[in-house]
Amino acid sequence: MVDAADSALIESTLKGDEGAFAELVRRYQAAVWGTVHRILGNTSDNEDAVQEVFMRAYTALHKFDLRYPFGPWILRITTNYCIDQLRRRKGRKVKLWSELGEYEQEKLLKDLSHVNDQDSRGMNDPEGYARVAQALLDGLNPKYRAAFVLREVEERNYDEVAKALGTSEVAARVRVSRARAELQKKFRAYLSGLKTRERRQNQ
Amino acid sequence: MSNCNEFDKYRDGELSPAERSAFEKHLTVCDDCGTKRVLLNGIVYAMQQEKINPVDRADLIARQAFSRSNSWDALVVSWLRPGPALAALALMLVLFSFLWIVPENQQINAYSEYERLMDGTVSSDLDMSIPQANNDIELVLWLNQEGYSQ
Repeated sequence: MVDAADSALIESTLKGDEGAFAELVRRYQAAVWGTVHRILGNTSDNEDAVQEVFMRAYTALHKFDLRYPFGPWILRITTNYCIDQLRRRKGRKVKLWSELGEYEQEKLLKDLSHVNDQDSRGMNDPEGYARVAQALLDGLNPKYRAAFVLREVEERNYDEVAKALGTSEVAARVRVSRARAELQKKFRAYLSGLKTRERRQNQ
Repeated sequence: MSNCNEFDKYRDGELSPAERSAFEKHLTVCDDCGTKRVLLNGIVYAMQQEKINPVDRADLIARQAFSRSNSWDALVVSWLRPGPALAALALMLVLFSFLWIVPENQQINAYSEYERLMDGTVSSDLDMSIPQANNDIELVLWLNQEGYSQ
């Protein structure tokens, strides 16, 4: 659904109205910020990332087709940017998980392994769980991670996920499915490491 | 009969009520699917609960976008768009090929003109000896000597 106000702001921006572009940014910055934060994790680079996403959008605005809604378009730019950043981050070996102390890692893994549908509502350390979640996501292929965040965390339908990733709906489903399977695999590996350590300590 | 392959359909809410009910029974006996469900619920819940505090940078972003678009490097980059870049390349190719095609020896000087005249002239037509002029200076000296100077 095309938003007439968005179209008017885009047209004014293209005519050189800086205020119109500021208003367009204001309309979408919370959504972009949320996606950046969930895909990249809570890092100090997020503010720069949001800024860069809108800079890219501005540079490409003359190519934007006003017959389509602006939301999916900016989501696609955001997702592409985040995937690029995750690929670069792999080279820098940034691991959120490793930022936690060993005790904190064990505590959070133990707690998370006992979460079920009911008691997950009573989590007393949501920030800690979010860090575990981000740590587990950290090891995923960037494309799987982005697909997982868009589908599971942001609860977007597969059509939206596919458009954001620039792929088919079938490919989007495959990525989400693989992300789920990979997360389980990593979690089991963490747990088995934890149990081994516990056994050694008890001996 | 439910099996692990239906996990994604269950997760995405794409099973019929009967299939869903059957899969939920499967979850109670399948450790893999049960753990996966608990883990995913935990991750998703934790991430959704996390507070995100966006900072309003709309005015700053707009100002930077407009100042960047007016800078000389942005203009250069804008020229790198496929259309203008191809047109510039084609123009350069035409210019270079023109310069390449015009041979060096078409540059006219006194010596080349002399050579052209001599090529078209039979030596017997001349009542003078042909000098062995190797360059313009020698030729001019010879012409002066023979009284051909203007």
